[in-house]
Amino acid sequence: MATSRPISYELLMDALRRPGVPRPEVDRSLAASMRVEVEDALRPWLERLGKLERPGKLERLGNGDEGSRPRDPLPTRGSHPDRPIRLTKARITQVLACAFHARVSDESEQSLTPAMVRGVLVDRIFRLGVTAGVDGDPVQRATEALVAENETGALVYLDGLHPVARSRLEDSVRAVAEGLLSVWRPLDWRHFPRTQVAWSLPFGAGRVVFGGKVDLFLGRPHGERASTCLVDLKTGNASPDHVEDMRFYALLETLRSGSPPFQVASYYGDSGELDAEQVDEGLLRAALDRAIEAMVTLCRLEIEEVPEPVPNPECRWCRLQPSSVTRRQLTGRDPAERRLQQVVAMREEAP
Amino acid sequence: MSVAHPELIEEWLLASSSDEEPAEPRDASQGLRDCMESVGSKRLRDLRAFEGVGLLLSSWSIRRLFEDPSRALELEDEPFSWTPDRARRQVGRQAFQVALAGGMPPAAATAVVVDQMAREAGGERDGWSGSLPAWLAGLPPGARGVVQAEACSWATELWDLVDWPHLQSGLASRGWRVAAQHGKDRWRFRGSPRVTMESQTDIRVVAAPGSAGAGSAAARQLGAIVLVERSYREATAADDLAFAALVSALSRGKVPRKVLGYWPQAGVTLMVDVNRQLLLDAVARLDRLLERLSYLSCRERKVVLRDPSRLPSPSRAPHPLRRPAWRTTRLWQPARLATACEGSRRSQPSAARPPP
Repeated sequence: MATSRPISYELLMDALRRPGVPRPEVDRSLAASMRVEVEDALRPWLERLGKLERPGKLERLGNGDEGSRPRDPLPTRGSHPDRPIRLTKARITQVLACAFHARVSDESEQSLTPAMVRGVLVDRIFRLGVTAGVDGDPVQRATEALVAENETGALVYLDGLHPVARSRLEDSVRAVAEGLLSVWRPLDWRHFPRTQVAWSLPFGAGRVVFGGKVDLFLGRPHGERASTCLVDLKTGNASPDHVEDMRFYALLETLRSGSPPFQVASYYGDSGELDAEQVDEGLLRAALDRAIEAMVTLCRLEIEEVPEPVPNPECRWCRLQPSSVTRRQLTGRDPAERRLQQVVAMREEAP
Repeated sequence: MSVAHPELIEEWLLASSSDEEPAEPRDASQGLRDCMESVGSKRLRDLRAFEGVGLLLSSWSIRRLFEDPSRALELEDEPFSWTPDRARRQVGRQAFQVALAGGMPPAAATAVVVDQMAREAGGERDGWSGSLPAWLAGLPPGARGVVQAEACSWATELWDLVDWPHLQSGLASRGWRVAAQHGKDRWRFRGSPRVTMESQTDIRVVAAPGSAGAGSAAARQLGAIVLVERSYREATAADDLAFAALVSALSRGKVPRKVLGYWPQAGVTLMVDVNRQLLLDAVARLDRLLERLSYLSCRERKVVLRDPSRLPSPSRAPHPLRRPAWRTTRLWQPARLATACEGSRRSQPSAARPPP
């Protein structure tokens, strides 16, 4: 059951740890059976994926005559342990919304936007806030963290901004940080807090990898009862996708440690709301079915023809989106046919 | 495959402190060194391409070199510099040690270690020498906070693996203990000091100094070594652990009885009992690699004769060599290697022959 409310530090910790509430017992066979399900779903595709050619060494290095060779805008990529099919929360959402979009966006590079850079800065402030605390200007501290991490993308973006735009962006970050740091203080060490916890779970001898990274992980995964809680910080508006993202993280942690978290939660930095959900077997099974569906679709994309585009909100980020097409046209009922025609026409014109 | 149950791992690690006579003879590590020197003397004389460049053999670089040996001639574009990601393991190990000794959670221990490292950067504190404390001391608060966060996550992941305090007390009753390792295991060939083998061990189970077990025959071996690794590859994971056992034996003169690999991101633990065959296989794998590299080196010299500008030098960009078409790949013969390890200096004409 999801609960959303603006909260204080004490309420927050109560909501995350739920003292006094009995935790579900860990079924050790659950993770094993789920892994078998993934492997079984993947097995029919492994042989076909293995037959795909990887780009040769010369092709990867470039042999000097690329200019004379027409570039396939949607090349077959193949799958290999060195370059596995990577299933993340974003890929699942993409591929289930529109396989065509997923295929295209995979080949294109996503450029930074002000909202993304804002998210990066808030993310660093959150991490510092729950670990060591933030003294002084939070934007300054976040920038120091980015410099140490060599996060050149965000730093170059910030440096390239007009002073007025940069000031506006930093003020926006400070506004979020103020609320964030009033709630998220350095966490009690007895909760075993850790930040930016990553998963990278290989299946099919490494040809497919389930991956993700959660902002905050509380508790220890071993024991007879589920005792961990996963928290992801969100900037921007709430979305139904966020709930699915957290369910996917619960699945990843179950597959990794064999012990599911007892709760997953999204914390919205702008509104100060916590959206928490208890984890049970039904939730994990639903997340598994969704992940397997996305995985099979991605495998199919590797092998078969590029599918037809399906108009949906993801079209806003599609590389083939004509600049003249408005969001209403993309998401509306009537212009959908027109959008399809435009995309197909663009594909035909692509070099 | 999920992470093995902590009690299972604990029991397995406890068994490494057994008083039984080790399976390996007491001079096993010396035999391994002789064996590696024998391999090196055969293969490294041809590695002229690395003169002035140096060759670092770690489990990561070995994997990369097997995939594409020409990369051995690529040079690092930038000198090493610390980042929070690179510092997490070093700081995390210290935090783990402090947490184990002080009975505090890893997060608290990390805060203590980062603070002390930064304050004592100019001091003489044992084990904290090197550039890391100085780098930490020079960091602004935001950057240092990220280092602390990274190290805290690393140490807590390791802390979750086993009930370490319980294991420590179990080992202590047998005269053994758990110790976080400082730095890396490194070993160099006598004849080719620029070729270095390197491995990162995180935790060691060792005989406690001054204990009754310290002088026993069993204590001449390491009890166990634990490695916390990042990217898991099923195909090479066991080889990586065998390599770590080999380098540990070569550099410290003690052969570990057990090697535990832990890939927290993948949720994989791999427990390997070390025996002679495992170590010989690791040597054989290195020999195969060096054979390939020496062939590449010969081939490179021919190229250089035609075009001296292609000589690799530290000031140049990665060499544009492409992967040669290997015509033959001879497999190592373990029986012959075993003979070499037992101290035999008999010549091995077929193994010493360079590849066609």
